Amino acid sequence: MKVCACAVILSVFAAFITVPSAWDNLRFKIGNYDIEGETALVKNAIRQFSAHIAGFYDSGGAAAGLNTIPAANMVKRRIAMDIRDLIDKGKVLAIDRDKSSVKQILFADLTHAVAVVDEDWFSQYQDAQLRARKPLSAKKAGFITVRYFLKKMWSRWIIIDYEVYLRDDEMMPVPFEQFLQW
Amino acid sequence: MVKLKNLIISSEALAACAAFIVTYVCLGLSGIFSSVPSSLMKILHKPPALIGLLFLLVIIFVRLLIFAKARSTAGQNGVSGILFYMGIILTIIGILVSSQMRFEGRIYLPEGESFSGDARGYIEGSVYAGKRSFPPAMKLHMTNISPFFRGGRFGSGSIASELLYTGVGNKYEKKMKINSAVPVLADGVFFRIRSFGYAPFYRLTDSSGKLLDEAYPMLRLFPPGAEDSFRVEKQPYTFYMKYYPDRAVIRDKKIPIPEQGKGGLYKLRVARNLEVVFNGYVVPNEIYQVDSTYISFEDLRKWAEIEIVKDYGIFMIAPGLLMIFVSILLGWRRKTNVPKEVFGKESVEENR
Repeated sequence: MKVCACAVILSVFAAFITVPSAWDNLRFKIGNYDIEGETALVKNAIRQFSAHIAGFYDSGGAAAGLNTIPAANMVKRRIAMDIRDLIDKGKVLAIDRDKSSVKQILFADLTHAVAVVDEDWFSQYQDAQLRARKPLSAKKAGFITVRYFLKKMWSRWIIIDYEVYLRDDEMMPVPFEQFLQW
Repeated sequence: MVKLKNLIISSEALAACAAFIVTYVCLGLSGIFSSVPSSLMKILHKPPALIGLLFLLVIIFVRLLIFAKARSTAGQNGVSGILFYMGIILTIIGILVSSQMRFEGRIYLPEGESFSGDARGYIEGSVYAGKRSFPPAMKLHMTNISPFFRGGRFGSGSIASELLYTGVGNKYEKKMKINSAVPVLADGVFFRIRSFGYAPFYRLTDSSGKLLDEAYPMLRLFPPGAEDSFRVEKQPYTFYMKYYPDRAVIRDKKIPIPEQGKGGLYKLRVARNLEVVFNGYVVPNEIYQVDSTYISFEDLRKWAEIEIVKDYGIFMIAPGLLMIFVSILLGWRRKTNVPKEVFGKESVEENR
């Protein structure tokens, strides 16, 4: 009986040391982590993303603004590309987030989270030079639901991708297998 | 030496070894230490499990020798016991062979296209290969894919497809049918469809008609109602699509369904970063304005994700497990054939 117990303990030890981040995963699985603290950090990352993205569009894509956006390079590149495309056409997009409410935050593990957020945005195309003095379109309201995919890197949550839905659109199940590989 | 032999043949050593392996496998399958649970084979291929299996192999082998010797001296054949031990030995050897020789990978294969068997043709990150394994030498040509939809919220479905399989060294070519339900064996290689989707051909132009991009993005649009997205290089748009081969299955009727055309229909939502710039149903071969660009969908191909597994270990594990099963059946039959009175007499004698 003692030998069997030793074998079981040895097996648990072997399973523990052969898996990377085993301690973090164990803490997550048994719920021994600060979920409220992490939720606050995720919300903060999304808030920062929205605030910086608005400022970045408004500034016409000032390069310094890129570093402040808590997002993966692919996301930043896409935003920068959009702004450059608008500048080429002599426009800037003035966007302003009116309201946002986090509907759901789901942690896939300690370093991957999915957040569903209802966001109300107002946007207006303006002349790149004359700005608000020469609006190129009427102020438009956009009521969207965004599903953010976040990853904790270097102790901070960053947005690695997002999906944009119209309010009350049906969402597909989260592709966890793919998401956890990011 | 005698002590070592006694330790090896002791029931405690056997139980400890089994407990070690079972605990390790259960922990791996539960995924308590990992973010995603592993598959049984991948857990058994890890060094701690292999070391445990090697110990178990030695113990079982020694026990088999002792068992066979004892039976021959007693003049009994002991078929079920020998079969049981042989089954375990074969299974363990199979797992050890599999850990070195297993090759597993996935490929995307659209209808009408071929796969040359080249290792670079496998989906990135899908290849799992032992130290002494190599991709199977073969060629595949997808001739036909047939999806069957069974309904449900996001639906469940099954896929069947026909392939032209060319064996090693182009010696022969044969038709092969594979499906998503069970793996199909050909030349020692298992084939199974893991997922299916559509690849709509899109053409994106600017207002002057200049071509911006055209391609067949492979999207997971099955079963009908499933949504997937693609992005176009150097364009700020994300295109979210659904495909309905039959308009009757469309549930989302908030947006008007176009009357024109027959057959399939796409549901398209286009986002320019955080702004939805298009949302509606799209008829194939029609041109639609999306923001400052124009898009049309002109062709549709089906594609399947095929899992390819070459593992010689399976050919030992399967008969090994069968032998264990048969030995248990034989042992159980022998027990039930013995008259109850004999058990009664024996037990009475034992009690005395």
